[in-house]
Parts: sequence; C-alpha cells; structure tokens
Amino acid sequence: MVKIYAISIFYKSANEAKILKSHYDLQSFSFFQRGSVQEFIQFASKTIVERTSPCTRQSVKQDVYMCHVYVRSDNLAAVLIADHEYPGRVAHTLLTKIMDDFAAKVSSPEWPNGTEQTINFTQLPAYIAKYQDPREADPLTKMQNDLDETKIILKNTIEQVLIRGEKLDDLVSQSEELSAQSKAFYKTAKKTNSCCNFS
Amino acid sequence: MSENDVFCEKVIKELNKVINDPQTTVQSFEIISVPFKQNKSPVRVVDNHLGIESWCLKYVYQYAHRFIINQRRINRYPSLTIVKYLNCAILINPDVATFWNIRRHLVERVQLNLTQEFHFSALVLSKKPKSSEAFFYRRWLYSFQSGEAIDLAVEISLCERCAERKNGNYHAWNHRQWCLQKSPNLLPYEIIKTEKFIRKNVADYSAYYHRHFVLMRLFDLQYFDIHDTNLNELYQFVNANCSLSDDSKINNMNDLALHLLPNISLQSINANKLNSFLYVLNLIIHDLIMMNELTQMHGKYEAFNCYRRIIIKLAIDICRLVNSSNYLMSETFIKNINTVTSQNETGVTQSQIIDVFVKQLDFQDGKNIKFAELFY
Repeated sequence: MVKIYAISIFYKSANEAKILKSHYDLQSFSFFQRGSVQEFIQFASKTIVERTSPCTRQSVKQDVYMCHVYVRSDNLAAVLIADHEYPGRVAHTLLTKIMDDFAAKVSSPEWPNGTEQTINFTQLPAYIAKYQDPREADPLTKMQNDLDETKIILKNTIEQVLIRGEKLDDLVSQSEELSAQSKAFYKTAKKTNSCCNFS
Repeated sequence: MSENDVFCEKVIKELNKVINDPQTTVQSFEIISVPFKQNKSPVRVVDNHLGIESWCLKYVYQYAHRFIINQRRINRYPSLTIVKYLNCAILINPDVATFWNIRRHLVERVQLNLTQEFHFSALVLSKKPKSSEAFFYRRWLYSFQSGEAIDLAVEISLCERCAERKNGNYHAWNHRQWCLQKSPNLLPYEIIKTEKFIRKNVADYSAYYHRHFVLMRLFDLQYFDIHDTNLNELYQFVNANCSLSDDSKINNMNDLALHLLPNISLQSINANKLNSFLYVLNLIIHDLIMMNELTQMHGKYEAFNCYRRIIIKLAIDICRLVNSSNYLMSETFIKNINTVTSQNETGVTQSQIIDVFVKQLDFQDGKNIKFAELFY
C-alpha cells in the first residue's frame, strides 16, 4: 500500500533523541492494535535517530514498513514511517521540506528543551494528509533534484542499524516507553507466520 | 459443569450480548494478543469495536466447537439455542463450513433474521477479510431477497474495504465481479474507483485483473459516457504514433473513426457501438499513460508490465473485431469479444492502429520481446 503512517521530528542531543512533534495516521490498522503500533513507531523512530549520525540519510526496511530518517548537521532530525511501496525519493524530499518548515517556525534555542506540548508546530497532520498521494510531491521533487539518491543509506532490518552487541529483543524488553501490552504484541507479531493461528 | 465450562459459558454469553445489542452496532471484531491469563473478562468493547483477548481462545473455542458438534450429532437440524455458540466459534475461526451450513439451515427455516445475518458476515470479514465462506454466505443470502431490496453499492464498498486490508484478496474481487454481473449499471463508477485503488496499492495484481475485467465488460455492454466525450488521450496517441504528417493531424471524431476503421463505411454503422469502441480505446490509452507514470514514480513492478501487456492485447482484440467483421453494422448484441475474435476470419484488412499496438506490445524496457508473435 502506498501510505505514510507517521512523521515525527526529533532533536538529537549527545546521548538521546528528544521528540519534538509527531503525528500518526493509523486508520489502516485494526482498532485494538493502534495503541501498540503507535508505541512501536515512536520506539523505532527514537532508536533509529539515536543511531544515525548527523548529516546522514537512512532508509531502514522492517517487514513491509520503511523508516526514512534524516538527521541534519544542526541535530534536528525527522523520521517518516511509510509502507515499503511509498517512493523513498519522495519521502526524503518531504523530510527536508518539513524540517525547513519546522526550523522557520520554531527557533533553534527552543529545540533542546522542547516537548510535544510546548512546541507550537501544527502542520504535520496536513503534511501527512496531503502527501499520502506521492503525486502531490512532484513539483517538490523537481525542486529538490539535488538530493543525491546514492547518499541514502539503505538498511534491510532495524538490527543492522543497531550498534554492535545490541539486540532488538533486548531493547524492546528493556524499554520503559513500551507498555506490557505492546511487548506482548511484539512477541506475537514475530510468530504470525506460523500457520495454526487464530489471530 | 467444571469451572472452565462456566467460564466459557460466561464469555460466550457476553460476546453475544454485544453482538445482538441494538444500541451499539459493532463494526469490527478482532483478537487482541494477551498471552497470559488475566483476572478479568476477556471481552472488550470500545466505540463499537469488539475484541477478545487471545489467552481465552483455546478454552472458549474448544468448548463452543464441542457443543456444536455434539448438538449436531443428536439432531441434524439443531434448534436456535445453538446460535450463540455458532457466533462465537465462527468469529474465532471462520473457515469451518459445517458452522456456516448450520446457519443456512436456520435461515431456511426462517429462524434467523436476514439483516442480522448480513451484519454478522460483515463482522466476520472485518476479522478475516479473505474469508471465502463469508462471501459465499452473503451471495447465498441474496438469493432470498427480492431484486429491489439488494443494495449492491454497499456490497461493493464492503469488497473495497476487504481488498484494502489484504492485498491480493481474490475472494473480495471475485465477489465484486459477482455484484457487477448482477448490476451492470455500477460498472462506470468502477473506472474511477479502481484507478484510485491502483494508485494506492500499486502492486496488487488482483486490482489490475479487476480493471481489465471492467474494461472488457464496458465494451461488451457497448457503454459510453454521454457527458464525457473527451478523447484527447486517444487523439494524442494516434497523432504521436501513427506517423501522420503535420497537416493531417487528427482532431475530430470523424477523422479519427476514418483513420482507425479504414475499411468501414461510416454511414451505415451503429453509432452506439462506435462511441463505445472509441470510449474504451481511450480508457486503454489512459491506462497505458498511467502505467508509465507509476513506473516513473515507483520503479519497476511486475504488475505494471503485466497489466500493460494485457490491455494492449485487449486493444488489439477490439480493434480487430471492429475492423474485421460486420460488428459495427449489426444491431445484435455480442456478449463476449473473445468468442468473436477467436474465429479469426481470414482476409482481415489490417488497420494501422493494430500495428502500432503490436509494436507497443513488443517494446518493453528498451528490449524487443516478441510477445506479439506468441499472441498472433
């Protein structure tokens, strides 16, 4: 499916990534899964931003999802989670545009101590709604032709983004942001390929 | 009754209360994964969404299954008390034909309400969008309804939802085609709907297959849109590909028809058929352009090429049909283009447009593939 699920903006400080703003479109998930999915998106976005160095673009594939991330040299970062059918080139130009817009509206001294409540930036829902159709981005991509696609690092799983020695299972079980429900969801989601399963 | 049985009875009762509650019409059912036993009811209802926690399934399903099979052993046509167990068992596992058949018996003896049955099968589809049993059941239920009472537009939007939730959902598209056979007046809307769907689900081959079906049916039914006589894409295609000199560029329908049908005298033909031919051909060109656009946007998908190939074949087929036989003269209604073209009359005068399409068929990814030779 050609779909954007979430966009979030982070500030990457020396030891962790702080979320500044995020928005989700999870209508395509079944009702009781949405909460867990949202937690996971948040968790994965944060994890990936923390492991991406400044001035880098990455696209990380996890199952049928793609996490596109761009960390700017001034430590502002944005993550776009989409389906793998959503064109990566469009996703990355969109990230650039969103961060330019964000930086213009919110001054940089606010970034290090900002939270989702204090930051006044309400454009994300409109971005998600508009760019669900990648054709909307056409003039935008022409403008951004200088985006060198070869500079986007492609990773096939989240595991490949992790620092040596880290394991995704451990990160999930140690995480304080994920509820018990979501951790259970993560465990069963890994097993869904087995055939004799009602869910 | 053991403690387990009491618990299962309680869960089944609670589930049925929610399903049959006239106040809340439940829209969706799903299984929530909670691996460990909780000390509270596993049935959850939030805003018309019904869920059941996974840890209790093994007990509840076994209990319901055992109960139904035992009842059926005693009496081939069980009484209405079995319905609540059926509801529960089917929702958890929709793939058991026996359960659905017991429902059918009950419907036949007018013990179950049709409206409720439609609602129930839709609920099953919200849990498993690929459930063929549920789609069969709905089609079977429609045989009890009079023609006017059937709202197939609702049925089509149900199919659309199911197809969106699971890609390559053969059962949903199959059901949709059944609706369109029943009610061909919905076909024109399918052009817009399927285009939207394809742009959203670029790799869903089932959607392409359906669009091909729609194009074929439109031609069979000699459909054209009186309010949309815009054939610009077709003009452009002909002008660009048929190597016409600048002053002989085609810009009106008469010239277009003359060019596409060199050997047909335009005086004695059926205008409906001609309009429909041009309309469908224009749609095919529109789709070819769309495939190029999608390839540019999303890169190469197998589905794009396959669809391109099959609609070019369709274009060749209809061009041949219209050029070769006395198809355009006759008032008779030809149901199926395949039967006509397969006769492959000898001495067919080729129209230039057919050559253009055959060339398009061969040209793919900058390579020359001789598909045309395989087809013709």
